[in-house]
Amino acid sequence: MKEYKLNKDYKEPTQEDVRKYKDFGKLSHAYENMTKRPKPLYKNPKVFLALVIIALLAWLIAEEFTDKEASKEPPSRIEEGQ
Amino acid sequence: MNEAQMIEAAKTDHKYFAPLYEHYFHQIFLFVLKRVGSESVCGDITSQVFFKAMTKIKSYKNMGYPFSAWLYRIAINEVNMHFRKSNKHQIVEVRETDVKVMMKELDEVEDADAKLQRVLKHLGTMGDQDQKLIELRFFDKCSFKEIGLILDISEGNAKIKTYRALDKLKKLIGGERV
Repeated sequence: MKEYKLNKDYKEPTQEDVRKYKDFGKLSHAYENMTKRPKPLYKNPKVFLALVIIALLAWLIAEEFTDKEASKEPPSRIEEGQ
Repeated sequence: MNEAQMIEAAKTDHKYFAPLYEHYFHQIFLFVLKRVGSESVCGDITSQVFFKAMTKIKSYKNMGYPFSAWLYRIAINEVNMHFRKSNKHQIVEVRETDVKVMMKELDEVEDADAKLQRVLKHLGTMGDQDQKLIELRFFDKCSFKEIGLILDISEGNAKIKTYRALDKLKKLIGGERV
């Protein structure tokens, strides 16, 4: 619930009083921080290294599977006939 | 550069928001101060109002209303949010001269201190929307056009609702006399 208080000798704050709270630089900085685009992950050296290692492991695993699959292939028909 | 051009420039780069900030800061500060009392709290809320305005200015459309009305609307929301978050009791400071103007509108001739206090006490028991209408009209001296934009209703509706709110207040005062 709101309460209304009668102010008989209301004194409006002066321009000087209000100026203390005025700071466009601070406001602008807060805005820039909020809207700043996040740095891409790969620009972080540690994350970049981790991504390279993951890619390398994935390539090695894929190679290993390809080799195994190749060795399991059935002999060709010509070989069967002999 | 006129105001409309300043707004358009601020939409392209936030640094051009500076002249609008300079021009309206004092006005919005006073508007918020009436509703929160403390100058330091008011400073924080006013900064938040301009921060919100800066982030939302791209969606602002010039409909022929003063830019201040849009800022008042943001300010009311910020003040409400402040009291909701802090769970504090809101005290609105009202100038004696403003209450006297309202008393004239209520056809109340007596304007002794005790009477003014009682009218304000009744105002405190009214609904949120009615209070906002009376505050904007009599304590902030907004036009019905501005009230309409601030409360998101038409100008005509703002006028009707304000006079209905005054009628309700009149009945509350009348009920006290019986």
